[in-house]
Amino acid sequence: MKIDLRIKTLLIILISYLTSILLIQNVFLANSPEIRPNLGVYLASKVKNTFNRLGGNLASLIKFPKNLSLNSITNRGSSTGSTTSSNNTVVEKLKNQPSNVLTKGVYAKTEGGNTLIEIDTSQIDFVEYTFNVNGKEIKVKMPKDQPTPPAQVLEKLY
Amino acid sequence: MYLGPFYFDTKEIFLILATILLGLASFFGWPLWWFDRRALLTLVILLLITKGLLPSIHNEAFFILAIVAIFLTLYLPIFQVVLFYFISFLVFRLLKVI
Repeated sequence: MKIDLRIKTLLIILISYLTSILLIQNVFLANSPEIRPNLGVYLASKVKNTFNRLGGNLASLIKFPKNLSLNSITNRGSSTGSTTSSNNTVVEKLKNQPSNVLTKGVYAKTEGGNTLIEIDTSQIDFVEYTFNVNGKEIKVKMPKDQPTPPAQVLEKLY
Repeated sequence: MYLGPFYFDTKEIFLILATILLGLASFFGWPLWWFDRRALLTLVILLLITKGLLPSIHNEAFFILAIVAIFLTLYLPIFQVVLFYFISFLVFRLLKVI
């Protein structure tokens, strides 16, 4: 009986801790009691993006060729974000490949184990936040589905 | 122990003593290693209020919650700790743990 109660207590504490993290990242602004002004829109876009990402992941799994080895998967993962080859012709070849949409405004082109990620900022929805850091008013643009930058990070940057 | 019409058990007296000590540390600027004085004082006042508002409270669960909340002030911003404390307290009450 007593052990049950202790397990229950620890579980409640763990769930509360996770809930507080979720609320801090999604509902409140910059570790303050201020609630995000665009909360409804933000949560809707977050849910939509999560579904899109899940859908994209499933689609990429289905599109994988059958003879794809573990090595080639590793190569793809490690080269994401930049072309690993120093040869400019690889970049040129990649540029001529058809684009795969990863998410809105983010495209990937793959060719021979190399990946080129293209980001079109004009297509990404940004949310503009105004912060007061050390008496200075600073405006920060963040993609809609990203959490607000913490005050400590802003203080270090500005 | 009775103080006028009020009865205090040992734990409550120690909690009140801790609050007085924290208040003194805050007032005189005594350094406390690692801990933020203001964060601790805020948390202890919340502990006192929540404990005082409940007629019968399960001391062990409350003690664990208090210890975890105090420990979390080392790593998390005070607002998140307060949020964590209130959510835990609410769930404890709803599930009748305290």
